[in-house]
Amino acid sequence: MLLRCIRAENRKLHASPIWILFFLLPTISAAYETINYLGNLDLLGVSWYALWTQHTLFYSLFFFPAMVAIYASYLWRLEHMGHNWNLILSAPVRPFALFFAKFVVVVKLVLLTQCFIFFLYCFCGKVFATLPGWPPAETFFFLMRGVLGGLSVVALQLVFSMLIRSFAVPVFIALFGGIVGIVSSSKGAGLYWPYSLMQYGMNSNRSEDMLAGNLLPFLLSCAFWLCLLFLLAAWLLNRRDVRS
Amino acid sequence: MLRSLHAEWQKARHRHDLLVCLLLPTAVLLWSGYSAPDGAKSLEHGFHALFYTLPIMNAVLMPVGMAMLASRLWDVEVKGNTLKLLYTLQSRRHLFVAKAMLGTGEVLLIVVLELLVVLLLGRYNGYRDFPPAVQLLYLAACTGIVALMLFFSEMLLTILLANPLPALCTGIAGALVGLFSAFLPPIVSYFVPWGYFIPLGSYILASWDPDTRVVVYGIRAFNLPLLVWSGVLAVFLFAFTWHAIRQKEV
Amino acid sequence: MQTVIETKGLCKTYGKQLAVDHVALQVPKGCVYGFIGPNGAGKSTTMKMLLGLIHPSAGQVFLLGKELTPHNRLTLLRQTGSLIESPSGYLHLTARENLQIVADLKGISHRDIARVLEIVHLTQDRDRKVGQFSLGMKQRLGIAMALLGSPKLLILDEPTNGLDPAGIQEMRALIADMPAATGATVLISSHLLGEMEQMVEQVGIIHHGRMLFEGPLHELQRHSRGDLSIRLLHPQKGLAILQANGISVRQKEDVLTLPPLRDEPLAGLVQALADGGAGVVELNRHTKSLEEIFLSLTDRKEVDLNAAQSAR
Repeated sequence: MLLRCIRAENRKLHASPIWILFFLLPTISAAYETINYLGNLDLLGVSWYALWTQHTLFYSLFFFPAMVAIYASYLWRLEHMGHNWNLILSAPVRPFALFFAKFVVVVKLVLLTQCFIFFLYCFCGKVFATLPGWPPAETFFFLMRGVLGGLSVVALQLVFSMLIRSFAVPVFIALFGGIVGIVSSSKGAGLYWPYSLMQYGMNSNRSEDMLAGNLLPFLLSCAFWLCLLFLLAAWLLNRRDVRS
Repeated sequence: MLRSLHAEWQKARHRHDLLVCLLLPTAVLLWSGYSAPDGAKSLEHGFHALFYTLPIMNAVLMPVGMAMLASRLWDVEVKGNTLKLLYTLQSRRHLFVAKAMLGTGEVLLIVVLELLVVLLLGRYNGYRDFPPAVQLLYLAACTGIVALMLFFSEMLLTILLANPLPALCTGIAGALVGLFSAFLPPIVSYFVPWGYFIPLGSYILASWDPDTRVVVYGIRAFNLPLLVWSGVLAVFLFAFTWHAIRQKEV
Repeated sequence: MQTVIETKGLCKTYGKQLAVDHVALQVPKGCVYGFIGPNGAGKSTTMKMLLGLIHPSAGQVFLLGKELTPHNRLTLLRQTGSLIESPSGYLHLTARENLQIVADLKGISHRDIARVLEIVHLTQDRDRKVGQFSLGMKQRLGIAMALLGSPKLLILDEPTNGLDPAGIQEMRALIADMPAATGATVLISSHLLGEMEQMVEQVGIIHHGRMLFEGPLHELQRHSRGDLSIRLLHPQKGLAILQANGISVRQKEDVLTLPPLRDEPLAGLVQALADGGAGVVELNRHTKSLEEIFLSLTDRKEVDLNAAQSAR
């Protein structure tokens, strides 16, 4: 049942313009950050780690939430347009399966984006910065931790886009959330705000590991937000009447 | 004409436009509230710091915010399938002018609120370097004109492609490029309209000592040529958007 | 006879494809005109050109006796109500708010809103958001928007789309009464001839962008006359009588199939069959489907051509 939903969601992405965004944003980001890194070698020092912080700073602060928001808004807009709500809610699946299928598809996109970013990071490091050896295994770990932190952002944006029929407003809310995330993580309250979790996980704005010895609360916070948002989504979907 | 504007106003009912317009100044409030310097030493240059960071915030927020305003204004017609009805009731010019006026009003409201938020924040923090009126006017003019230019560019995209997605993607990519251009050699920033807020800003970071963390702010001359160029771009995009609406077949 | 809509050599090309090919419409005042054609025949494109929504590649449009130009377009359209393809409406606003917008843009009093809501039976639902409407309700709202201000000309593109059978019946009665009630002229399109027969007086048939037929309905009905089938007690006797009268007949058990005949010769034949003791039990006339009428209309053209050639 769920698999069918996921396959259906996947098909909706075929030939969709969001793939342009998928390639464009990380490439612009990588190009600039490599230039910036090369220009500030004396300040940052020659290391894979310095390149990592440069490469992921703006991305995890502002653009990851906005990008996830666009993915989510795009998937829900397809349902908001025309009479698709009738169609999907009359399909022989539980309403929550529909939400979860969208969640899986966005997470897949996020994973692909993260992989693309890691590829660009390695590529820029080897080709332009001619760094010795290969990036530390730690960075890959950060990357996966970023995905984990990003999960609640994905769920939250899917809830927003489900409720708000406008395409653009959830995207701006995501940007807004990211900014509040900077504030809350700098005040040490990041674990209480879903948009900060991704920044924590990616560990892109500090030279030391932000989560050293703090991994368990981080994981608990991720799990808490995710469960809460899933419950909220299930409740909303069961309560809501079909709106064509 | 008044009739068209009134209709546009009616369409905005239940759309929570005011709430959406408040989102941007609220983001500025939170962000500046966080980045505003505190401590006794900073009272002398607090407003300098706020006015230096405001254009940077705008470079991140405005491209996306303007994409949001512009695409909402047009998407309502796409979703409701209403263009073919409207074009039999009002001229395309009236429809466009009404939308442009409402949008311009919203943009100007956002700019004024944003400025007020920063000024009140500075007052609340007790900063003593309240900027002279001419600086306030210049900042308002720069923010307003560049925001309007972005607004019309996003509206153009939404109309041409009948979909809010490209405008938002451009908004986000623009915010990214605009922010980056500020940290690259100045010449680069002239080619990136999304980030014009930053080269237009008159408050600058004169020097920053990484060891002592002492920051010195300065004020530079107004960048009037770039301001005029932004205005020209805004007018050009306005005309181009009007052209697009006139040509569009439904 | 005054014409309310007239087009001359109207064409629209999309790329190389000729969507509308030299269409000449003549809609007389105070009638219900059915514009019939299969999907994709160019009905909507023609109607959009009548409303100035798209620009004709060639040709002219005359509305209410005046040529449609960019200058007088809106003045002419203010006296027109229209519903093109899927219905329009702001989903986040209620039905009444939507009608207020249209009434303001048309420059008419809000008092008319209650009247049109009543006509389309949406009075109960006037304060619900259009986003929650069913397709049929949206369609009715679209018709209400067209009716606002009692326009002299109504242009409706498949207005019964998505309505339930009762709604379709009401709509037909409403449209058929329109000329008498408000003096309006109605141009209505459909892909179903059967649906139109009960309400239109004039018809135009379009296929592949070309007008195949234009004229009063009864003239078209002549073309739509299909074969006759007669069931007889004694088919062999009947067969002989019919062949003696020079009619080509196909026989299947006790039913004889005859080509289309006019009323007088048919009455004569039945009389002859009865007198001859064939025992007429049943007489049925098949009506042609729209496709068959198209074929007969196109066939007729070819036949006429052949006749003309052989005459030479």
